[in-house]
Amino acid sequence: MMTKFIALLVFGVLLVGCATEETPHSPAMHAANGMVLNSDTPALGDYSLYQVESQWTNQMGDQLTLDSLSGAIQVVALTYTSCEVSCPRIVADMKRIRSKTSSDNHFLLISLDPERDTVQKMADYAATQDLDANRWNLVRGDPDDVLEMAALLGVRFRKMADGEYAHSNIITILDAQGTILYQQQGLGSDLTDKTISFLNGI
Amino acid sequence: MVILKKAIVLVPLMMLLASSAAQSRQTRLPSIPTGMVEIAQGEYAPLYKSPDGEDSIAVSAFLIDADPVTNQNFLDFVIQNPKWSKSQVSRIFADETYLRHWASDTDIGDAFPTSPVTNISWFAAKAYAKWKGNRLPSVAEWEYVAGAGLHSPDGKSEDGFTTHILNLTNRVTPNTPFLVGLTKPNYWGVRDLHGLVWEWTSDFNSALITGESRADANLERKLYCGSGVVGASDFTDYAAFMRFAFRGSLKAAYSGANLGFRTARSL
Repeated sequence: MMTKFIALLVFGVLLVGCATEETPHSPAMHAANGMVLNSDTPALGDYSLYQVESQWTNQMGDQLTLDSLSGAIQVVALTYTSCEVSCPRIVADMKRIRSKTSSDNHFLLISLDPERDTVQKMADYAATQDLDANRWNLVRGDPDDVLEMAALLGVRFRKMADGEYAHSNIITILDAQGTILYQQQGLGSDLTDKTISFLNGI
Repeated sequence: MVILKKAIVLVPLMMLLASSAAQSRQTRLPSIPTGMVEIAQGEYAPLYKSPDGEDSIAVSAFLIDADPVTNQNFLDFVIQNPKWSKSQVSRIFADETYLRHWASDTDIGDAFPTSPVTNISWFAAKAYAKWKGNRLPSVAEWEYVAGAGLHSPDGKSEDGFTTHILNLTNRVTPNTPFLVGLTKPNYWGVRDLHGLVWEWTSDFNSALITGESRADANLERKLYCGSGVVGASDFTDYAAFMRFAFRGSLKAAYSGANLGFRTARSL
């Protein structure tokens, strides 16, 4: 009897785990998968990610805080330069977004792997990938701050035994005040097309 | 009246507390802050492994709070850091249920001062830990400490340990969590890891269950849905399954009535 109860309980919890896969990460963001999350944006309001005070260094070696990115739409993802699996696809999707949307939009790549992603490595990567420094910031920061940004963006990640990182594939659009407007969860041309039309509709 | 009833229940529990505190390991060095205990280095066998993953994760020696952070502890923090009060906290850092059991910004209302603080988000827990000069424990650290029995670092070697933990975990949860420090300290002198409240960890978001890039993440996704239990390292540890499933469902701004935390510090 007890065993059955336990089995049911565990099963119940596992079901909850399944059911919550796509839950939005903030009460104001009512949908998660390629949907508009928060269309009426307050001026640097309660939901601005730029409230975080963490310090970052970009591929030029410049120090910056996130609020210095305000004033332009930012298209953001967490990746790392030595990633060979999905990060090149994330960056490819972002480059496609860049080529098909307003030249006022900016792009931010936050490194999941600050240990290996030195300023030099980020600069080399930007050069190889042809990421124009006027529109792209590749940044590295303290691992604790990376964890915080991941938490804010709803990105889950984990360092694996072979030194690589498993991570969610999420591209986030922040408005000029740093509030999440839209998130693309997953990769591929269909999803990216939706992101592009969203950006062009703003 | 309600408070009075609670007090009557609590008196005998307080006596229990006194006796269990006396049994706790008194190996604290002068440099260890009050309320924290030292955990010796060791190895933690993760419940879920990636296909190429190792069987165990090395855990360095560290300090951890013997008890969860209480309402009173958290009130001290909020008074000194008003931006973490319920009226001022930013919504990206805590949802609407943040500290909802408190009467006001600086009044814990009917809550017990020495109950674990709950209804706090990961961001708030992290900010508190930083304020104390500490940090949140990682999943590996927390599970390593929580895996200890009463007499050894490896609880599973003790008769009835797994069942005992499961019974604690399955207890009907009162609306208001009980006081901290009433349960027997484990081998390390740490209390209330099981059965009182769930606890935040620094890397709770390392449980991968959405939109992953890597093959093992797909495996884990299945694990959470029950069909892939074959990948787990210990089928009998239901309580650990529940903790992992629970962590997988969390987002950092969530505040829950049964979700608290304790802090840790590297050595």
